[in-house]
Amino acid sequence: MSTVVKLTHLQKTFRVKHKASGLQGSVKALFSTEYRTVEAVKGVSLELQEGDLLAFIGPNGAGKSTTIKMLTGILFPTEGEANVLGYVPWRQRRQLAYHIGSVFGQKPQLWYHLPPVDTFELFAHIYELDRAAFERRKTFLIEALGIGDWLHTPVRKLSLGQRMRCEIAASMLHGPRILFLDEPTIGLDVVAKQALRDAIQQLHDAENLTIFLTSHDAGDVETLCKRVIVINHGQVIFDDRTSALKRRFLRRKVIGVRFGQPIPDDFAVRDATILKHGTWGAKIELDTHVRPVEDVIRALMDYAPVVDITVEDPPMEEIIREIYRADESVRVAGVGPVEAEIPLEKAE
Amino acid sequence: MTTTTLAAPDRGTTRAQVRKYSAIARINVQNSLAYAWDALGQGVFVTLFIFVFAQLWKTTFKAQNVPDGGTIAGLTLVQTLWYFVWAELIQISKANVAYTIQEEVRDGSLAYTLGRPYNYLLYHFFSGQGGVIIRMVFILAFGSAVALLAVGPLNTFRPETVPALLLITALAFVLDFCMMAMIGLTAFFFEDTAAFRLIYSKINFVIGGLLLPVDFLPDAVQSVARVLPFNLILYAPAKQFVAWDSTQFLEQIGLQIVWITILAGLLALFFRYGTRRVSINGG
Repeated sequence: MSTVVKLTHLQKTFRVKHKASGLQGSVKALFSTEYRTVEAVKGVSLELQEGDLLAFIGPNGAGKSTTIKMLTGILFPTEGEANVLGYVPWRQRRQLAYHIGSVFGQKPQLWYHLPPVDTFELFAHIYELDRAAFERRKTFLIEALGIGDWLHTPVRKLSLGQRMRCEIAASMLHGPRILFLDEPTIGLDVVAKQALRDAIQQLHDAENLTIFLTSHDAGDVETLCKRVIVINHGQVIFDDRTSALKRRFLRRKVIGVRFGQPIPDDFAVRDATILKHGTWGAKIELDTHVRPVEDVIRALMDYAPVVDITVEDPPMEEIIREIYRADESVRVAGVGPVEAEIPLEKAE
Repeated sequence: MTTTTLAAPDRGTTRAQVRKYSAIARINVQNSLAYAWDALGQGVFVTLFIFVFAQLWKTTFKAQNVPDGGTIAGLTLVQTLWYFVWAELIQISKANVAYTIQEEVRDGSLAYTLGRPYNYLLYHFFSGQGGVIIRMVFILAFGSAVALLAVGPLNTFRPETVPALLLITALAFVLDFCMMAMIGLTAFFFEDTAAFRLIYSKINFVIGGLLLPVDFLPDAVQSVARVLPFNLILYAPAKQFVAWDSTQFLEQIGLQIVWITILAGLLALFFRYGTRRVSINGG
């Protein structure tokens, strides 16, 4: 396996205008502009091998997208080095573009009023693809992503889930070796999320594709990735196998259940905490190391007829807090080296 | 399947580049057709404009006691009205690339448009021109219809000058693109380009020939207007359309080429500098 991405102490700082609140602040800003420096990425170092499916996760504003934009050559770093497939992204952006693909979940690249197939045609020319090879590639992606039915429908008429699958197809047409996926499942419902995760997995397996996935959905990480890097306030605070993250920080699940009949006031579930109690249902929190989810679901099904049931991961912000807490306890106990002092309050 | 196996045999050649930028222009034509009602709306807007101009200039020529077929600053009433048809045709059809770049920076879609294997500025040039063609068709049709009804046909028009007129008009679009793209790139530093766009549009309005043909301006203002590049965008093509002058045409084409060379050079430098400074919103 060869190294396809190598980052060394990558840093990015932005100068952001700072204006005092109110009318007085607005008038003052006319004569003197104050700036403050925001350190979006603070010395990130990492390596990716060919075929890796890496989750790069963190809460909003953690520095995930900024890192991706430096890796794709859109942003120049303030300091540090990066090598992507042998290219320095911000110096050789156009050469690198032939070998990477990117999907930014919140920003469409497909032409909104035209069907996806028109954007595919455009990309065939932009990436200067061989006609016959492009047709074969298109057929493969249509099948792999299951988008055949929507190919000739204007993008504005597609659901978000359908659009995202077409977005991924568009980014894969030129056969990239690395695919950067920035929040691809954002805003999708449970079914669409799962369908998209399946499609991503299939593409990865079929082509030994290296995938760099950012998300703040813990479910994306659990389902797809073997390795996970957690970033917060621009710093890497966790870099390990996903199984380690799961074992240590993804233990908690919240089950929402709605029964077909009213439940008594003293409704309780063994080895679990009732977070919310209603006439017809409840929200239950459990530690999966103490009692597995399947066991609790089975118990609920046996208790009364179930109308609806959901299983949720803890929000990313909570996982980050857990990681900090673990890091703090290590520091207090004096066990092992701690590389940097990580602030607990928000940097901005 | 990797990029190597997918690459066209002529990747990197001029032919492949021509195909690339033609495809960019083509998809914009397709997109404009999806917005055909918008282009039609602009055509209707021009109808109103030319109608108002017709009334205004009929009154002006009458107030100046200009006899039928007489001129003001070398232009007859018919020529004046048809001048505005061509000037408005360029003004309304031209792509607002400054706004497009600004929005890319604001909504973060620059992450896509900047990260593709093409020249970013050429991408915007061909994107913009794709939409221009459709708008021109509608505006010319509506504008000509009103001018015909209001003052009759343009008898001074010489059909053999059409290729030259198309050339001077095309270069006017290139020149305008250079200026608009320069304004757009300021979004890499300031995010909002509204003030620069407003200044540029007002300059075009006053000394560029949109409010009045440059010949109608006071001598002092005319001398300033004629050395600046703005009159080469609206005034020069519109004036040639109504009053062909081959000597003036060659001079104007020469000036257009000089200004395009200077501005394109500056634009390339500005782009190189701007990409180091860019910060993208969202995420």
